[in-house]
Amino acid sequence: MSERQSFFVFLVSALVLLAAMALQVRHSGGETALGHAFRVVTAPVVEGVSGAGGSVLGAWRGYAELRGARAERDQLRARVRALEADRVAWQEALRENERLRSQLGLRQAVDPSRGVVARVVSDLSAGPLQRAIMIDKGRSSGIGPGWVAIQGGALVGRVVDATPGSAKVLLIVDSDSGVAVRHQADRFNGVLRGGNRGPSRLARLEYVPRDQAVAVGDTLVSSGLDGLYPPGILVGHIREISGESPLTWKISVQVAAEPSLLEEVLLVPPVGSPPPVGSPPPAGGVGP
Amino acid sequence: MRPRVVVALAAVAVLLRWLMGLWSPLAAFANPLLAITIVATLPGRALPAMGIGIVTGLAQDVWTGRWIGQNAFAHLVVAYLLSLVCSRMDMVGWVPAAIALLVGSLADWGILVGLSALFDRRVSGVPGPAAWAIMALVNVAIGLVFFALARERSPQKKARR
Repeated sequence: MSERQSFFVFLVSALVLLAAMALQVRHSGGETALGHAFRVVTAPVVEGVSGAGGSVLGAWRGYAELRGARAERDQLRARVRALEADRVAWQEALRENERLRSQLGLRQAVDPSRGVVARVVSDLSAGPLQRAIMIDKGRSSGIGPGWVAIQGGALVGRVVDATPGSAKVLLIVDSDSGVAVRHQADRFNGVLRGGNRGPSRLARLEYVPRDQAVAVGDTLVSSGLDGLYPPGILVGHIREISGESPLTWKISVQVAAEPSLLEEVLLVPPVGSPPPVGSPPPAGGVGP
Repeated sequence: MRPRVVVALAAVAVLLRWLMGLWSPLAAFANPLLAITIVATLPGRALPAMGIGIVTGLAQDVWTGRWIGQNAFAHLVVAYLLSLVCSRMDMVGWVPAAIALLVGSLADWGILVGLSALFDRRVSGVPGPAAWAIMALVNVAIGLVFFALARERSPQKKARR
């Protein structure tokens, strides 16, 4: 077969595979990934063409925007002040809520009596970004997407796909994972993102302002603000802090659950799911 | 590479992949199915190499459960480009094979990261140079074992005939 024919086969195969991928992926903004990918590829061309005749228009727009910049700045300052006030009020309400919960003896969001213990049967980690495991319990055991995996009191991840006899758990160190966390001592919030250094136990804590005091070894727990994970579960400990950004800390976190040592995990229902009909009152036991 | 050898190597690769699933760090680094694809490109015939690349890539996609076509696309591109190079020079030797495995492994990860970026997925967690180097070395080691297995079978068959 000639090189031209090989290239034709390659081109057709590549386009088919790209189209297949595009049909499976949906862009976060709601549009299809095919449309998004098309825009990414064609954007430089469009920008180049429109840029040639747009320099005069751009200069005029720059002048017009400059005129409105001062008013916009004042509006934004006022809005920042209002949001700051909201944030303080919200934190106060949160602390008050926690105090009331402990005073009233409310149960933790995690109810072990509704949990299911599953065995880890395979590690599905692949490539530079994906970290996942497969467990031996699935839909036939009542497990579905959204169930949360815990090991030894530490957060492992959540179920993203389930078959009758198995389920896939996306680990919190996966690059697609995000966990709303809270500093256990100082109670400030942040977002834990996976995939900091590839196949390891490290993740990174984002959106912690520079004026917030943090120290190596501090403990992070889930806050429950993401609506995905129950609050109060151990997530990890701060391992490294650096200040590259002028606004936020760059924090490396060692997650508490060691992915390579997982043998069994406890699966608990998603946050806010109703208890099963006719279930006995929780007595502390753990289902198989 | 003969079809029978490819099937045997694929079976070994799937077994290896399953065994590596028992230890997390190795599973994230090693890709025996990609190693088969790269070894298949060494004779320099593009069409069989691309076919093997698509099949092994789809197997990898089914195994890892991400988008179907992601690894198949990466294997296809690696197979096509490497077979183009291999058709112009003799790559059926230990050192050229190791170089092809090294370059192919790095290209595979690069393509996967590029696809993630193209489809607006998170790519900020791309591992550092050390992880890339370890991955490439692991895949070179696996690929050279496959290369040795595929290479030693041909003289025996010729002798039998």
